[in-house]
Amino acid sequence: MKTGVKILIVVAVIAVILIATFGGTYNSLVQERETVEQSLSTIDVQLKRRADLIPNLVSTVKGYAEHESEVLDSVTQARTQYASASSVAEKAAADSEMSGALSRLLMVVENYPDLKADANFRQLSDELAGTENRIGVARQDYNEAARTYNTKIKSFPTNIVAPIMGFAEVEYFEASESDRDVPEVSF
Amino acid sequence: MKKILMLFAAMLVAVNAFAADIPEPETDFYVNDFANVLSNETKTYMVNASAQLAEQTNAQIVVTTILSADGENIESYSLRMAREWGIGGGDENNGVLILVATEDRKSRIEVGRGLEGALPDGKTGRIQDEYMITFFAQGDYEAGIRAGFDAVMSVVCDEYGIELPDGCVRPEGIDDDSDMSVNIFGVLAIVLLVIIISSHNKGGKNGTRTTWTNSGNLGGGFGGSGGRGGFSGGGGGFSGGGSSRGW
Repeated sequence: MKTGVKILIVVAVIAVILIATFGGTYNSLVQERETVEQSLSTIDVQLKRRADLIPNLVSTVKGYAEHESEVLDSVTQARTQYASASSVAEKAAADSEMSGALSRLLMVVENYPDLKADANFRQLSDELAGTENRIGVARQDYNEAARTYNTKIKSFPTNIVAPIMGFAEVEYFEASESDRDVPEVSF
Repeated sequence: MKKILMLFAAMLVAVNAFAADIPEPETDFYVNDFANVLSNETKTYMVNASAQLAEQTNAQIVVTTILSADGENIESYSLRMAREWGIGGGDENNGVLILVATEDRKSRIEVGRGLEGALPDGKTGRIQDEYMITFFAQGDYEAGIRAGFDAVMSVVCDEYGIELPDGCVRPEGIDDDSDMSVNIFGVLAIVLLVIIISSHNKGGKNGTRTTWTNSGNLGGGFGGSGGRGGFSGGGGGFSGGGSSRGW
């Protein structure tokens, strides 16, 4: 009888510890995954916003620099590539493609003082630079959230239960870490 | 556990290696003249105007001058400053940071999410073009900062539909912004209309009065803490909106 009670108490204590540990773990994992997803959707919003600015930008530049079709085409192409991207890696690739195309475009613009002085163009390039900066910030925020989350599910003891609970590692948004400098828009 | 701690320590070190520490804000909070380019008169003026604005709307306009961002680009430096200082009311994210780095010859207007509608990137760029960088290029930081501050302030005042005893000053030449002059005339027209109607017809008085109080509440409704109020929400309010200039 005495040993029976002892065993019961031990089992109860273990159960309480398990629930306390992994119940809390589960909740915090859910929360962290939520943060990761939220940061990813912030990137999406900004990527979309940049894509939306492009037709306007292209037509403004065309008005002054019609024969720069090669650069303009590469921007339009990058926009198409973004439209078909779905995974994090594809989006990251499309993002860096678009950043590259845009910075080439802005470099070309340097040769057209009239275009640079155009009020509409100035406004567009401010919006573009702002969006580019927001994308950089959102990317950084996302990767930070992803790193926190990934570190957690790979650390002991969470790594034992995370797969059982259905928490998988998430991808980093980093195809463009190497060429992540914001296109320089200066007047 | 030890591993995690070490990882954390390593991460902290890595972060610090990249970026210079953001200084603590001055006790006045609204004006932080680390580069020493502002007169006391201008500082007092801007601190008072910002404090009055914050009292009425929770919006905070902070001016900071530094010598240099130590090699970091001004965009990431100003974002870290805006986030670390928690500029803007907690949930409203309505903070603005006007940052000028004199040795880097760079300026930036960083806009919190709550004010991105009133101050889109294009507008912040135009404010710097029209009011700030021509002064900066001549080395007159005080004049450029004051005109830029007034321009930002007047946009925020219009956004909330308020007037302040020592703020909401339109800098000279702001009427070449068609949006704004329309607004000023609109306000004047409403004022005239109210005066005419209320002096003319006592029956109509009630109706117009109501409109007035409503538009007043729009700005004053949040009320409350000036100074560094709403500090708790700091951190998420900025997502990199705004624009930068060099000269």
